[in-house]
Amino acid sequence: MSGAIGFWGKARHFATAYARNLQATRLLSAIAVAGLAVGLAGALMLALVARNALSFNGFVPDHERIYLGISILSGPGMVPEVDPTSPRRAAGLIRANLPDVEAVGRLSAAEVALRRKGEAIRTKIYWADPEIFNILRVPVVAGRPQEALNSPDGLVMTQSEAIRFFGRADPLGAVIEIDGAPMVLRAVIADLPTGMTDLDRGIFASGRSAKSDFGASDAPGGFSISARTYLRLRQGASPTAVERGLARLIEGLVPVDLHGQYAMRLVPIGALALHPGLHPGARARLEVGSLVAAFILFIAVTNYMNLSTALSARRWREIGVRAGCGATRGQIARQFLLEAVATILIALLLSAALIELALPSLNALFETQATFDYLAHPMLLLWLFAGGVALGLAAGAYPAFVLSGLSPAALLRDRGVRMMGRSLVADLLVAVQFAILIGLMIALAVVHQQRRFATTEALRLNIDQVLVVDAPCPASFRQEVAKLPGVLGTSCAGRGLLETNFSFVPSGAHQIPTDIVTILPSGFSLFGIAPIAGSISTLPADGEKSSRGFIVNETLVRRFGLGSPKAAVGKLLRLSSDSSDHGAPIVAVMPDFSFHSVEAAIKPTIYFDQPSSQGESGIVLIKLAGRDIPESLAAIDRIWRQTGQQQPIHRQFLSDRIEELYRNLERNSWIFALFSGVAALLSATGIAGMAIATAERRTKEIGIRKALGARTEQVLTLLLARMSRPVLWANLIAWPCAWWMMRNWLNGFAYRVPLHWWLFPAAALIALAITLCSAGLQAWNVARRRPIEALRYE
Amino acid sequence: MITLDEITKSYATADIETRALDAVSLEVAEGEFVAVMGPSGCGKSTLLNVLGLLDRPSGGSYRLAGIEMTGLSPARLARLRGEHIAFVFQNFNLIDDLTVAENVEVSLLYRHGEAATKDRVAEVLDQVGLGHRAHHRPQQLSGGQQQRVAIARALAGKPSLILADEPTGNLDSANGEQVIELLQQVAAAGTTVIMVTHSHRDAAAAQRIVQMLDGRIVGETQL
Repeated sequence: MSGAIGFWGKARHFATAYARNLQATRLLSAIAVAGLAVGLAGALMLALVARNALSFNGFVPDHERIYLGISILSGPGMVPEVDPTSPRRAAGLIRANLPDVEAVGRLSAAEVALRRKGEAIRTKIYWADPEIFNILRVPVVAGRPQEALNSPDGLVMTQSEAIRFFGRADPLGAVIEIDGAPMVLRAVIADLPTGMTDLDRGIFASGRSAKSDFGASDAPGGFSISARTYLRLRQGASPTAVERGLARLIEGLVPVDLHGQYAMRLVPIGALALHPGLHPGARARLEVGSLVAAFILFIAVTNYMNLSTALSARRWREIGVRAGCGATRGQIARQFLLEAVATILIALLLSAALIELALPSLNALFETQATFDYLAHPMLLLWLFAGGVALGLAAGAYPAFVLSGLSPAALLRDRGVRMMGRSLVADLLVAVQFAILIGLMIALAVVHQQRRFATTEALRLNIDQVLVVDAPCPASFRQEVAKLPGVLGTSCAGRGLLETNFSFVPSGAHQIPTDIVTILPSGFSLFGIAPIAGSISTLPADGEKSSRGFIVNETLVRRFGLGSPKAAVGKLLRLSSDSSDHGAPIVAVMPDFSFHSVEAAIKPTIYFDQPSSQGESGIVLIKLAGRDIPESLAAIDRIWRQTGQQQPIHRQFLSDRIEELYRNLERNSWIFALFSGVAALLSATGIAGMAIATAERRTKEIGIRKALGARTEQVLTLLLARMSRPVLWANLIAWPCAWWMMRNWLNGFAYRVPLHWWLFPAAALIALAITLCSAGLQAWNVARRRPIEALRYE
Repeated sequence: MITLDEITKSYATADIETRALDAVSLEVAEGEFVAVMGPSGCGKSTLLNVLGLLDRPSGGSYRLAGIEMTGLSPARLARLRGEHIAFVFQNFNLIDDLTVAENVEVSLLYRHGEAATKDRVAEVLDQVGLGHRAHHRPQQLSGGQQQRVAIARALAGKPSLILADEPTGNLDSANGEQVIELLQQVAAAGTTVIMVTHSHRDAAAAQRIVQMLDGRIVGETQL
């Protein structure tokens, strides 16, 4: 058969050479490709998660023009408090006075009793203005949500809630009771994509219902910010101008003593997920995730570069022959670049499979709904291909540059291996890889320590086996529960114990934001806390008429300038600057403790001894003995029903609630753990590759050393010491970087663990162990070769 | 065909300078078979590298087919190497991952001149008596056969100059003789052959023997 060796002939030749080389080095090539695939999958998944976070609420039409009005409370010496809700009356004022606002509507979160066919459950819903679905125009399954909430009994549900309550997706006209009021399902909307919306519940009841809190007015002198206010601006309207108008409008709603301290701001709904005030840590998590993704990709690519350069050492003869046959340096470089691109594309295919497998778990970890739907988005495929080619060119550049630069004269005389000496660049790449690994391990340890600290020591109280039942302290229930054999004690408190509920309390000329918490004296002993000054025994016993004495925490004593805790006892404290408030004495000072996140400093706190303050819903605290817990819980449920409680019981262990506070930390912990593992795996393969290259290159030297009497262990030590050198260099990069980054991270917590010095050498030792383990086998094989084999080598 | 005029080649380190070629002048005619002899380290291989455009001389002039080689760009040298020069080495330098035919094909991939054809590969393999081994891997062949593949690869591009560096050094005498015969045939067909060797018997097959010592040409014998 005759014919010119044209383009396809050359393509076939180079494809054959590439495939045969892969085949000949199948184990190491598989390691290189698998490492790349894992690295690419990790980086791509984190990129998909980031894309997901950046397209938050993107499914809502016109989301660019839709804003949520949030509240910011600030004061001297206080970290601004940000809340996604705003004054209930703001929406009406906006509607009437701001022409740049096309539509405004509110949602108010509530926990209600839902009853259908005699069966009641407690569930979370939104009271909603009829306009809300005109603003948040989510996909509709049945009915007309824009009109559904016009009547006071109107109800809208998501598809899955409709199925949950009625067994089908479109039961329009079905009736369900909400807190005793019958509501009619008038529309069903599509399920809101988890992690893509700020709405966390799927039931929307008309805000015109008498049960809704939209109609409630603030208590005299009070100022309630309980509604999520959504605004859609007109095309071209300036949010800054609207915000300015808003500031003027709500001035009249804000109590005088909060002027200058309260502000209502507009946040685009697309930016809610990463708003630092609303989701502390979310942006940091995304940034950490992106950084980790970049690290993983870097490790995977540098690994590939090192491994492919090491593997190419066996191709020195081929390079020499090609150069001898007239190949220019550019042609040889192109060959290796194309091979790198092909390898990256193979790895990309594998990574796509890995992403399909692992993305659901990562979504669960980040609570996102990132998708990898390349069939629906061909552009994604195109981007991936283009990215793969670009990455291939970048990754292949180094080996291509090194290999094409070798002297053909020397290569053709069998001096190839010696010429492919260990380069400074390769050592540096390994050092940076290990620096990243060491850094990730230090970060993992610090995050883990901080999480443990936050959920145990930082609480400064014993929350073990404490059950929280949502109820305003029903006496009969509490008494009966206290008699149970598995119960050590009970108490009652207001929900302010667990949720932020602060007021501005006068201190001289200032108003200091102060947590106001109601708790029975028995609550303190339930948590194992005793006053550091004063006594709570002077207070009336539980159930008796409440006193007007205040229990305060140490921070209040400090911030209010009351001297020492002992000196503070007996001093009068006033809750408002109203002249009618004569105040009450401080009867005891408690050590600082908090059920809130350790990211925020403990605020000055005043503890009332009433079981529940006005309008505040309460909780019953039950300390279990820690044995026969299922039986105790069943008995508590039974007593709940027997004592005639109308609502279904809602209970949770306090430790679970605390864990929820630290899900951010938990997730960060997992991210670091997961990707440290990946980084360790990749670095180990990189070192294995380096070991092979080093062994190849030093075969003759090893032969000479052994011929001169070196023992196998001495040669092994020599090889391992050489391979460990870049890992030791890595510490020079990793330690200061990790110290700086983790110190800054810890500084974000008001209460934090110290940055222990021993973490650094410990991480370095682990990295060294990984090096010795992954390089050891290869080094051992080389070290125990007979000298004659090694000397015959050249 | 080849004119070397006062060619020098020095290798310098921080401390010492080694002169591998010292004012070498040589003329080789088209179709001539020249053997270069001399003790190890006398500069034979360096001379071959310079002649093969694998290395640049430090000084002097080198004209190949009337073209001055010194001062040409690396890409131009590579192109001239691909079109005019071929190599045969003591260690065969075959690519283990490729078949015999694919190894021969390599010499046709980088040519810019006439279109290389696949049947040229078969032709040269037949010429060296290895047509039936086209799809074998080099490791499956004997040393003599591997060297014949290397010669086939050298011939495939129809070069005007073949540089052979101790082509029989790794072969037994029978295979060595076959290789020398092949080179003689190539030279007889009009291709210039310059062969470095330690073997007087191999050198005797050439038309001229050039003796080297300490980087210089110290004698020539016309046979």
